[in-house]
Amino acid sequence: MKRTYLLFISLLTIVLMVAGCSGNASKNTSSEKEGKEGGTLNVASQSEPATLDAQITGDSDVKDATRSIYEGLMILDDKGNPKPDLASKVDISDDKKTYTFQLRKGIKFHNGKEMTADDVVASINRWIKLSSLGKTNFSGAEMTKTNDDTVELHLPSPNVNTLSLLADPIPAAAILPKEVVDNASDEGIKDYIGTGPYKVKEWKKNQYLLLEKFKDYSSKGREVKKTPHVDEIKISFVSDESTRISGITTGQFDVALSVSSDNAKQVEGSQNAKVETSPGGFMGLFYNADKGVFKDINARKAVNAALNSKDILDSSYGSSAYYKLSSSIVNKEYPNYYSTAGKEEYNQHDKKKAKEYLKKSGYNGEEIRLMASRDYQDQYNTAVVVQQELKDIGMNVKLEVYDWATFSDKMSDTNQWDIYPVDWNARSTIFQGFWTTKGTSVEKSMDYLNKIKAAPSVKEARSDIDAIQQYVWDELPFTLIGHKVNINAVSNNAKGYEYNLGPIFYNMSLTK
Amino acid sequence: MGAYTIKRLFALIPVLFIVSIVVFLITRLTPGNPAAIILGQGASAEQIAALSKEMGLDEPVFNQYFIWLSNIFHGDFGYSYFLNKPVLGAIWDNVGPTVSLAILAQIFGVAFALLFGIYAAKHKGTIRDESIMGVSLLGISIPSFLLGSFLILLFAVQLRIFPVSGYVPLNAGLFEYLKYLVLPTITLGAIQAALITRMTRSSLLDTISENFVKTAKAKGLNERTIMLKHTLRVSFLPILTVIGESFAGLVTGAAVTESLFNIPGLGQLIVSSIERRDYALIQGAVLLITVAYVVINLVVDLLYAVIDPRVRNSYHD
Repeated sequence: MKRTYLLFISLLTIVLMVAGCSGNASKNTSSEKEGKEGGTLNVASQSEPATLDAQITGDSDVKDATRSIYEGLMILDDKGNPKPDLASKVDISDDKKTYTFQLRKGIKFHNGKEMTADDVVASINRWIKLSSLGKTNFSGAEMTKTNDDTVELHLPSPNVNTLSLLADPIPAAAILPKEVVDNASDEGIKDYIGTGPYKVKEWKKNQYLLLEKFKDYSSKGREVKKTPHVDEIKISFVSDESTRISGITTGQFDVALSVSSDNAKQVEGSQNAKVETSPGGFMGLFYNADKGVFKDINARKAVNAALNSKDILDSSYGSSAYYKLSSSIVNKEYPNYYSTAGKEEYNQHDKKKAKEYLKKSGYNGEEIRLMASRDYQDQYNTAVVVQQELKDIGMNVKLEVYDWATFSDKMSDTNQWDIYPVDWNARSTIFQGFWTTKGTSVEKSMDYLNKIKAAPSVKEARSDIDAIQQYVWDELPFTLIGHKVNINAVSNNAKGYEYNLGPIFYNMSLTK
Repeated sequence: MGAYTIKRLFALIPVLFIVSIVVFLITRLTPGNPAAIILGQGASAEQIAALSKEMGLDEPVFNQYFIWLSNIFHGDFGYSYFLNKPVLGAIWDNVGPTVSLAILAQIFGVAFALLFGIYAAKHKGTIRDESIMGVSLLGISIPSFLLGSFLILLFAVQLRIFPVSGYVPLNAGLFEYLKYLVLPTITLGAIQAALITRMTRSSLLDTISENFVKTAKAKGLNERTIMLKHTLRVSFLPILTVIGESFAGLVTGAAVTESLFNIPGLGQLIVSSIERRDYALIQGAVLLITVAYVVINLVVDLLYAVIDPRVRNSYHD
């Protein structure tokens, strides 16, 4: 027996010694160092992209993974202004219906082929046909070739957002080789070839996506610089958040995406990583204005008057550091479309007023189905608080919780729900997106959207931007509860992390 | 015994048939359209309809089932549109980690259990016996995600002895391979270890009180010989049952451990294919796991006969 105890004590001593050593080692790493060339940047992502066809989907994991692979004619700078990327110059005709793009010379695709006007024409026309942005904003538009270095985009009517939409990363107007477009079906491209700073080396489904530095990449002359440093970017798909967090605190990962506010504190407390926050999309409570109780504007107004945004967001995001109370659809960081119109309707938490509206609506105690998905904890938490607040004004609310796939399926059928909370990706402009959600009054919003489109410039669209923001608060197709703050964790060994409508990896470098 | 084996294998057919119907119906009755999930946000109704058609989802459910079933008889388990490869290929890619993990967890469980089970039985009623039983009760009760998180926190985050997550195949080197599997093995194997420890102890105690052990003692055989040659051999039958059943359980129960340690195994594959409504993959994986489960149980039954002559003789009745 004695021998057993001795063995146990010696083992314990060894473990403690190792612990002591590793504690010292981790302290040394926190010193500031310069980034160097080479190495592999390890990124942990919550979910795997369903496809690497950046043109056809608006999913954010597709965007995060493909931003280093593909490029467009235009790119957004950090204020949301479109700048030329694969185009070197853009001319707009006087009637604002023809956009002429001079193409940058000597740009190579990952397969070694030089980019020509034919590739651009094929890519943009496919994007117009298949992407949600293309379909809703450019119906009837066409890209044509003028000569090998020049293409023209012909619009049936002016659209002030044209360049912003071409620069938008979700879904991206990615420029692909013509033969890739020709070989693709509407369900997706088969070869992932772009002109970006990194090319696809291996996509091991269910495990990781490995990107490799593209040797022929040149950032020369571009207004928004891309300077790849690391040899490889490995995006691992790690669904469990605690595993992502442990991985970043131990140095296994350099970037961990989608950190919840609960875990942000743990990262902040670690010596090896820091939290990066960035403006996120908005959490909205969407009404079924097609059928049922919320067809009546007074019922929508009752809900809107009752809600206490601060309480809801506190419950969803924990601390006020991780959300913003704002009545504007677009974040303040993108001043072109930020608007405070109608803000007096926001965050009223006035129960008396809410009850009056409810009475006016003729609500008679009918059951209201509040649909939520537990796959997104913030949406679920929002639903729970909303249910309570609506019960307080006398609404008979039943919470129905589904997994995300079921939720999305039911969302498209207005017979299945009355209200649901959902958060949207942050955008730099106002466009159709959430207006196309079933149940909201799409036709009415189109008039406003068309007016913005027809404006000669974004500056001159100001009154229409305010008008559509006002419309949201008057008509309440949804109630905007507030904006979330995106939280990602970045290791102290990694430099150059940027965020613009999502994380950007191509400028990052490692210090050791 | 050959006839018995064949009889058992034939009994597998109705089981698989029922499982195939149940799993097929469950996938189809659960809301969520795989085509819409593959195409992502912003896909138009026409795109979704086109892909649904390509995937054969526009057919009546009855037809879909029979097409699937008849394809299986031709060795075709269907195609995973999400992973862009045949179901069998996808399963094959993910079998390695799960089997590695299950075998290591089983070895860990059995080694731990035999050592401590025998020790506890020998010292029945003492504080040593009670502490081992206490720890094993804890092992049975503690949920694997909790134990796994604790192990990660202590050995990966604090002590930095093992990596937090991931998997390296055996061909990358034995040391690397084991380094990634130690914590998941303990997480998954803890319940096995605890269960088998308790079973070993009680089974040994039952046998020790039997007459043939008393006779052996009376004959003056030394205690070690009695334990190893007589008691353990007889006690092994119920222990083997637990080991067999628990091994099948390990293969199916690896999902939580795999997702916690980000190991690309079958469990994780099934969980993610359920989230994506990857029908063909869910159906194929569940069916194959059922086969594995039943076959492992069959092997255990056959092993009985090898160990216990009484069982062997009963096959001839």
